[in-house]
Amino acid sequence: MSGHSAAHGGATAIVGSATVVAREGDDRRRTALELHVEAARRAVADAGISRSQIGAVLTTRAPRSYDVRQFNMRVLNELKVAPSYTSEITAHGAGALSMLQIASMIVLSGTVDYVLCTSGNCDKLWIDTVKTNATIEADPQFEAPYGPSTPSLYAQVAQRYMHESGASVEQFARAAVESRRWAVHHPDAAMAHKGEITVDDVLSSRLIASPLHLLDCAPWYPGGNSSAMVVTRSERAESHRDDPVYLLGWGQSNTHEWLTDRLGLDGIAPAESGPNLTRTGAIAAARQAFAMAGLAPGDLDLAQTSAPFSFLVPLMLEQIGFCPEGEGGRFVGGGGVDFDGGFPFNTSGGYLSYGQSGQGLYLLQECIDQVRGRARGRPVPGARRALVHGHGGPLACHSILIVGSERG
Amino acid sequence: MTSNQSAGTTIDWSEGFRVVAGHMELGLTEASPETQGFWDGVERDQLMIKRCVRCGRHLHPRRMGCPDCWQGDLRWVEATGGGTVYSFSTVHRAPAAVWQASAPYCVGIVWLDEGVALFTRLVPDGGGEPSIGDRVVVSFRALESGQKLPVFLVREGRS
Ligand SMILES: [Zn+2]
Repeated sequence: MSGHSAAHGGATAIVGSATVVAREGDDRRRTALELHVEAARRAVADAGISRSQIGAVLTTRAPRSYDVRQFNMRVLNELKVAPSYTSEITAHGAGALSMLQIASMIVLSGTVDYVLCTSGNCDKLWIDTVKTNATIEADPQFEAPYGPSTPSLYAQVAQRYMHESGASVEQFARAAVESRRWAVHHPDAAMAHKGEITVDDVLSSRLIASPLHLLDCAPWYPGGNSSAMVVTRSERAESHRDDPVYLLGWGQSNTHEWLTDRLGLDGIAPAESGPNLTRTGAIAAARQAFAMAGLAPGDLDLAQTSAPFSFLVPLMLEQIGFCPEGEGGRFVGGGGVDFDGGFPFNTSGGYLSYGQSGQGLYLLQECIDQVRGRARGRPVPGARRALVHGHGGPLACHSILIVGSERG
Repeated sequence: MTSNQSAGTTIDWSEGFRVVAGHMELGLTEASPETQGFWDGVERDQLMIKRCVRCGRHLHPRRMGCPDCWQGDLRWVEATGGGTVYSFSTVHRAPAAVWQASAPYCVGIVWLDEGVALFTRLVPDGGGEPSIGDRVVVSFRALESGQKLPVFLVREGRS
């Protein structure tokens, strides 16, 4: 951050938000465009503004199940708005949170007052997510012909993590167990109806890609969801509602497209000490976010991370700063994020048990609901500040937001 | 994912190598001017990588220019074919039927002795899983899609 930056923590706020959920078995199979549009209408209504006040519309990239060249323009036309600025914000799965950060920069410029952001997809309703995802995460020419699955690409990082830090599959399994316990309380969680699981359940579930078992892997959300948010400057937000959710700090780090590109990275953060797969951009993104917010991990009441595989719970915990680097496995294994008595982490069940829907803001929506005291699942009593992490590509793009119910 | 190549045939790269996923046809799947030399090498059972003529750094075959010095032209050089296992995973659930018939199989990342990381198929000596640090040596074989590819044979024991 430059010293004169106007992007200080708490300068912008979410003044309207809404999340729409679609499930397999709904009366009608809904499209991603339809979900974006419904979430957008509701978020604008929640913000209490008119459509003519929307100065910019940002969307996540075109969902794979609605693959059009300018998805954002489809959203504009369904809403009958013609804003000055519009774009799809793309940084793989980190793009959704990046969109909120860019929205903040836009309103802080003073160019426009309100930015509408829409996100989400419902790929599982329309396409073979397993097959298509594997071909997106690997280089089509030099990697995909070897037959990697998406779990096997992330497993490359898991193996290195175990090798370098001594983290164990039992510790990874513990993360899956605790995620499930939160999910059981959340009405939208994909795995809520499956009940609690044990470490033994995880380790005895079938191997998908070593060292990852079935229950170490997030299920694709059985349907999809869309979240829309309206961002404005904080003083303006306060002029028309008494409970805006402030954007206290944010950060990003984007390092590679393919895993083997990541290993060509050295000499710059987060590979200062040489090529590696395990020091992800989450480290740099978290550092920026805490610096902007003037907060430390201990100041947070809860956190959500995009962890599609169980080993990413301890890895992200240590990289965001909830425990020392290299200690994530022991932190989780020692009860650090236990449902009872641990730090409230992935409180809607996380990707592991809420389900992964991609390119969405449903983890941010959970933070908003928690700090407003309106959690749909189990509430974190007295929660005021929350961190949310998003990532995409094979741990390639990382984006972090810290939000709070109070401006400072 | 399917391909238009059948097992054992010589690949004509002028036609490209089509990769289809669901309703999507994915881009950058075919040899391009920057990568043709790699696939020509595979045909001759030679593992070709890039090297910067100015700073001398060895680079992944996909690189178009030197990302370090930003100035040097790249030329093809033959790698020794030796390296170590950097990471690996045994795939039990394959992404598509063409591979599921071979499951479980091991995909991994090899650090070539030249300092370049390649994603590959690892073929452990006598089955089982490799270990990080195991020595590997290149070999060439047609995998499930019919495409001839460099793979790495694992020799147990760390370097
Ligand atoms: Zn160079």
